Amino acid sequence: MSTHDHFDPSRRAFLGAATGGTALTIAGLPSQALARINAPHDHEELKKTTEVFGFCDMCYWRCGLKIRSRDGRAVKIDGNTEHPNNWGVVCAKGNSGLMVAYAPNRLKYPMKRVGKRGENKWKQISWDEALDTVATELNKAKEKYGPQTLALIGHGSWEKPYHRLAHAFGTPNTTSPVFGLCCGPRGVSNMIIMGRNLTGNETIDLENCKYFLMMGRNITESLHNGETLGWVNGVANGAKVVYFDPRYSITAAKADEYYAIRPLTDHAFLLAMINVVINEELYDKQFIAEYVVGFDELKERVQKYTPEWAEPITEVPAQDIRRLAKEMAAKAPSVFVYAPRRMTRTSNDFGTGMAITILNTLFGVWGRKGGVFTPQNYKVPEIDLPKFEHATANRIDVGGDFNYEQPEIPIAHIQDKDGKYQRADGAGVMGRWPIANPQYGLTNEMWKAMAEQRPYPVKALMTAGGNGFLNSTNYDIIRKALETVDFYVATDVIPNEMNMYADILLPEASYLERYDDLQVGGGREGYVAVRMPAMKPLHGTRDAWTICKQLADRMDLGAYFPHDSIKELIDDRLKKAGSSLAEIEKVGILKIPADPKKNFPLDHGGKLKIKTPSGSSKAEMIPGMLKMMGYDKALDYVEQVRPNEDEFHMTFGRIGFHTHARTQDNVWTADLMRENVLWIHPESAAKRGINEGDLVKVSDRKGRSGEIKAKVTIRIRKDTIFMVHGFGHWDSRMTTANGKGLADSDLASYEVDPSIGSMSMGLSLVKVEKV
Amino acid sequence: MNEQAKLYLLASGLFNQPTHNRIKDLHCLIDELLQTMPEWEILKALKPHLKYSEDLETEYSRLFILSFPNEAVQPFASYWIESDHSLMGNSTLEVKRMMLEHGIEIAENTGLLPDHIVSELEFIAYLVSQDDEKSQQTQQQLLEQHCSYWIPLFITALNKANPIPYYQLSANYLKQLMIPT
Repeated sequence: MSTHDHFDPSRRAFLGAATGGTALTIAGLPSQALARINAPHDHEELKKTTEVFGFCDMCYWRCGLKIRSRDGRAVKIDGNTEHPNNWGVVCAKGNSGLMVAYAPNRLKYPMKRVGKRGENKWKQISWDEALDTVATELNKAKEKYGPQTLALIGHGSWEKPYHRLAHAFGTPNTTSPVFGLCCGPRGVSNMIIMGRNLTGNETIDLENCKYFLMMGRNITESLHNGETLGWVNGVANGAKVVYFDPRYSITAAKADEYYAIRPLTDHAFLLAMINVVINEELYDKQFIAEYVVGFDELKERVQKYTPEWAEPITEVPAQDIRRLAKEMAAKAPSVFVYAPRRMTRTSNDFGTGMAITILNTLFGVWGRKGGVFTPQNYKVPEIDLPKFEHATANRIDVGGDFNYEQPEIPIAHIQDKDGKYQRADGAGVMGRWPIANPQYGLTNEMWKAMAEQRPYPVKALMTAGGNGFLNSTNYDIIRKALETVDFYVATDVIPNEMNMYADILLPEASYLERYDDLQVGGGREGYVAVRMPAMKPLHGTRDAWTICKQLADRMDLGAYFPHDSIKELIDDRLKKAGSSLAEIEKVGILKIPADPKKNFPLDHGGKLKIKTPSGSSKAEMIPGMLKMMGYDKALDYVEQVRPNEDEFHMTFGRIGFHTHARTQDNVWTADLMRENVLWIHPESAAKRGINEGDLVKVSDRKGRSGEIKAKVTIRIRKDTIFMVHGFGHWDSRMTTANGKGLADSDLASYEVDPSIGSMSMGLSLVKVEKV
Repeated sequence: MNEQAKLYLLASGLFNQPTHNRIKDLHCLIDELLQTMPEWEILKALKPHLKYSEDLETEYSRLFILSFPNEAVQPFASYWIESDHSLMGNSTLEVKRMMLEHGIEIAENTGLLPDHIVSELEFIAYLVSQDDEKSQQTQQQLLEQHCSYWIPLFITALNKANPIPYYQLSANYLKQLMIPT
């Protein structure tokens, strides 16, 4: 089959015989251009079942997989029993991964926008034309505005090569929503107090934990296989579960105790717990003496946060707060205060996160069985690359996720004293969001920078997966950003409302159809895992690395992609680690065995190694860095919004079989939930004449509104409504999800945490009325 | 190549990406067919619409690739045959196997699946052009047990999508070619 569109009557016609080499010429037929079929060399694809290893892309936990293929197509996804992220378990989302590859609506060919941005009018173009256009337009923007004018927002696929491409291009403006829209507050809290990350694949010794205090950590629905499995085993081993959530989730149903805490007030409850633990001397005295500084100042600081103070704020009885503190202390250090997965809710998530870290630290959970283990890391060196001129230092260089070494210069200057470009989103920039992680950036602020073209022109956008609308909030800003940039190229496997605005749309091969760079993780066992293709890429799709390599070659950045293929890169990295691609392909994962002495040093006579960003070798209860910057006020409670009599707190969250806004168009996951509904308490519903299944209108104070069906249930507070996240799509290309349910993201608040710049999505107050 | 094969080849080309060269070739093909089949009104009706334009490419993308403003006109048999609308279903493999039995496969880098309407119609054209019993059997099997199920659904969806005249006529042509009255 030809890819040429040229008329060439001398060539073989559109068909040929497979054997004997006799070409069938069709007299008078002018058309190689018509031809789409040609002869095979053999029937090589009709083979028996084969099996390859991979890791999942259906959520961000990245479970290890074994994928069976037959006749050239992947037919079954199973878990890799050796992978510590899931120990062989695959969830509903993971099983539905096949329908990412086989989705009728997936992006299939490179497309060029021919209508207005967002109008969804396209023309299929060749890869060469698409890549040439992208390279030309990006270079044009660079010439006019400088390399910092490019923003890269990645989310959803294995986005590493895109970050490398952007850094090679010369921009520091690479970002992923993980900090500003999801886990940032708890990540930075653990880092600034303990020098530990504790996000991503959390290093909690769940199986041996004896007491879980779960602050809205809905582990059975916002689930990750290895984590949920560990928690279930912990519960089976006798752990007590105390769960806090304005909604009676499935996790609440599995808990020993449930508190329908008043929304947004977790911080008040936690401060009262700290108060009791300190004043009643329930903390781990030896741990505090050896590993903690700032205890006395903390003690003084929390005196005002008594359980009696917290009770009217949280609606958790003071006597229960005292009892819970004592119960936990009795089980410490095999206890854990569990932060919610997404922690961008209140106007002081940073304070909430720090209170959780402090409480865990008071119980001495670090490096202890049943607490937080110290992970081991499989050392796989990165490939040798030329230096990135302007990119922020990577996490390996700074020994953690958070780089505080930022120069003090005015915002108006776009370069620091060393000539490095400052991030447009202000993450890690003095005078803006110095505590925010410049590795991931503040995606919410990056959208704003593009919309407002401040502090400097951000005129080119590349997105790798993600959905700026449904994964964020403030659609006006997102839309304005997408309409303001000079050039926008989107790569993804699936269509969505954001990539609908692209000038050039590049279709990626799904995770079942490609090699990717290695997954290097740290658990009790250190590991490195491989992703192998279970089938050839369908349609006209290409893998992420190849797309980036081919773009880099066109922009004279080939030195940053020195290998001819991603396979070569993997092999190169593994050989530096004493293995090879051939070796890892046999097993899918290479591991360093768990070592209790390293995982739980304090239980084996060892010491805990601490290094906080300010250089302290002890945990800082009142982080010096914060005091220096004037941000330590975040340790104190900040009063949260309260709804008027006729209003509700607007809450949203996940369900076990959908991931963010990425799976609603997947026919298999949609079979489990096709649209979301509004949870409302029967008394609140009755006041408004709302019955089960009624269509209701939800409106916020900013004038935004939407319609959704009601689910009348006692499983929610009377002052709170809830909906599952990720629904309410309006992209007509998503024929399964389009028009189903309501987008919480168009109702969530878009204020930001004043300390770290992450979004405070839970501040929205809404009215509900029957339509 | 016999006339019947050319008719299927024309159908295949009509549903393929309408590039400059392809449109030019389709024009030639229609001229050839009209010489021997002047009575086919649909061919005469189609001919003036065989002009390349960006609008035509945009309409092609809208209908068959990713816009679907009111109706999914998926050009894959599997979409219409499989209960979950998945691509690469067993129905795709059946067609792939049939092709392989005749020494045919979809070439790399074309971006087409075996059960894409372009592939299937061109395969039928190939079968029709062959003068052996096996090809006739395969053709019959493909038409009766496969195409007859999904092509009518595809045509109905295409008509519902309010296509421009080029594709209205192409749908009509496909119907006349594939669906016995």
